[in-house]
Amino acid sequence: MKSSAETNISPLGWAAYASILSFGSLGAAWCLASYYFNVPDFVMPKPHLVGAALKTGWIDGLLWQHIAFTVEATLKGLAVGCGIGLIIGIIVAEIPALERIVFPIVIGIQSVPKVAVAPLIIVYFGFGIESKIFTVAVLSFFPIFIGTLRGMRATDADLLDLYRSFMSSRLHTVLHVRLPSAATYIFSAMQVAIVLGLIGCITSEFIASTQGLGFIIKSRAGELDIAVMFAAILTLSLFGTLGVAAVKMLERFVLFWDQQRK
Amino acid sequence: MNTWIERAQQLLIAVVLIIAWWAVIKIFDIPGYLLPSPYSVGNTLLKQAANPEMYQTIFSTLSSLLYGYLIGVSVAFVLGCLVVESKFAEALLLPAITALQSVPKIALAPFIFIWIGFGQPAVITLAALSAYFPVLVNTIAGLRSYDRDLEGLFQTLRLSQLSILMNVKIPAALPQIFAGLEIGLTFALIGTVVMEFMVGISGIGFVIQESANSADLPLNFASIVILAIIGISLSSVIRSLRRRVMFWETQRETARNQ
Repeated sequence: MKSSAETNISPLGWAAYASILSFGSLGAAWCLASYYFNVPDFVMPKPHLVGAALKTGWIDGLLWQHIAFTVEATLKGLAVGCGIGLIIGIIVAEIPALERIVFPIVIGIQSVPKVAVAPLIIVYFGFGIESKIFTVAVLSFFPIFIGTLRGMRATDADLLDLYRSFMSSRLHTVLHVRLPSAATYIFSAMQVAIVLGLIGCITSEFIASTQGLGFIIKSRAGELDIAVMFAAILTLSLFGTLGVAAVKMLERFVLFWDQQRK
Repeated sequence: MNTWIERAQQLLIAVVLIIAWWAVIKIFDIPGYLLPSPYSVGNTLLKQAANPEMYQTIFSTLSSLLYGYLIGVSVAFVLGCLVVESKFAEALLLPAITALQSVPKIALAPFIFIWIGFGQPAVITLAALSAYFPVLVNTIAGLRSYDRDLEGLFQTLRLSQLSILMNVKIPAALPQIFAGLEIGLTFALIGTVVMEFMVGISGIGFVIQESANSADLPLNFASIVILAIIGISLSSVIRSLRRRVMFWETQRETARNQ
């Protein structure tokens, strides 16, 4: 019963040993399966093969071109999608009549998998990077748009009254009151946008591409070259983690006042 | 009353959007192979409504989605309870869970082919994997969010760990669990559709992909509309379930919305 209260401050050493144990036993099981029981490489690659694939991919540069493609497509798409989502979100939130109508619609279509337009986008934009950028933009637009709307809705009404009574201009109020109070919502929406953006990029690369990590994963699957697939997935996971970490750092940097409160 | 006016306004917006769509096509004289007219999409929808094959397609998507979703959600819920209730399970599982969380589940699709093969089980697996993580994360966060001041009371009443979990922690976690269920549904839908893109045997995702390949845009648009209807109705099922289960929240929420 005491445990739940103490979990957060549980002795770190003990937990560290346990996680070493859990990862260690996973690794041991992997080695045992690969080297002792000789599980075929196309089912589960041997650890040294994944290591070799990572080396040829990262150090010898086999994956560089594909990493650059996926990163470029995702970043450009995120920039477009988040930028437009933010701007339209602000505009809609500023026009209450529009907001009342649009908000329920947007919430309603939240559960529609927007990734379904990926094949259509390829029809319009071709196999190149443009279709990936556009897919990422579409997928990242919605969370940012919703986050901005929600955040601007949540502005403290008393503060808005205060600014109104000082005859603050609309732009000034948006920039100094509504956006800052929406910032936490927008930053957490950005984390979602990164996850969805990566999904969009990979999906679009799966469907039709000649480059990118998604393309590598799919084409190597045809050759049962699982070691390279592992290397590509590890790379993707790394970028996803880095992206989310970058947003968190940016949030801490921009919302310095929120940190003090915490 | 208010909600009816809002409904009417939303309907009006939808009508305006469809007219605008139609007007753009007329004014700029856009050919049907670039952007299908609302009429041709509506026509295709009506035609598909009389097409038994489309019902099979929808059934296939729905069954993979629901099987995967239910598997992912139940495993996540049980594991979430385990992690919160047992320090040992937490230390053993949480690092691995956190490490795996950062893997984009969609990227695993080709692995699933190799390990499980082409077909419905592959779709179910990706749907389950996609639904699993948001539910797990929210369950853990929710179960830890109960009122700590109650601990003294538990001690006085000598409640067992199980009864605390069932009667205090899970009810307190429900808002977050339901939020996780909704996010999980969205991701399960993404997983299902992407896997159907790739498996290429059946399902709405397959129809969307095929119609794009053959430049049959009316069918493509119509399938996306059908998928949207599936997504919206399933999430409204979850929301009404939430209202049923968490009846005490409903009153508070309506008070807040007014």
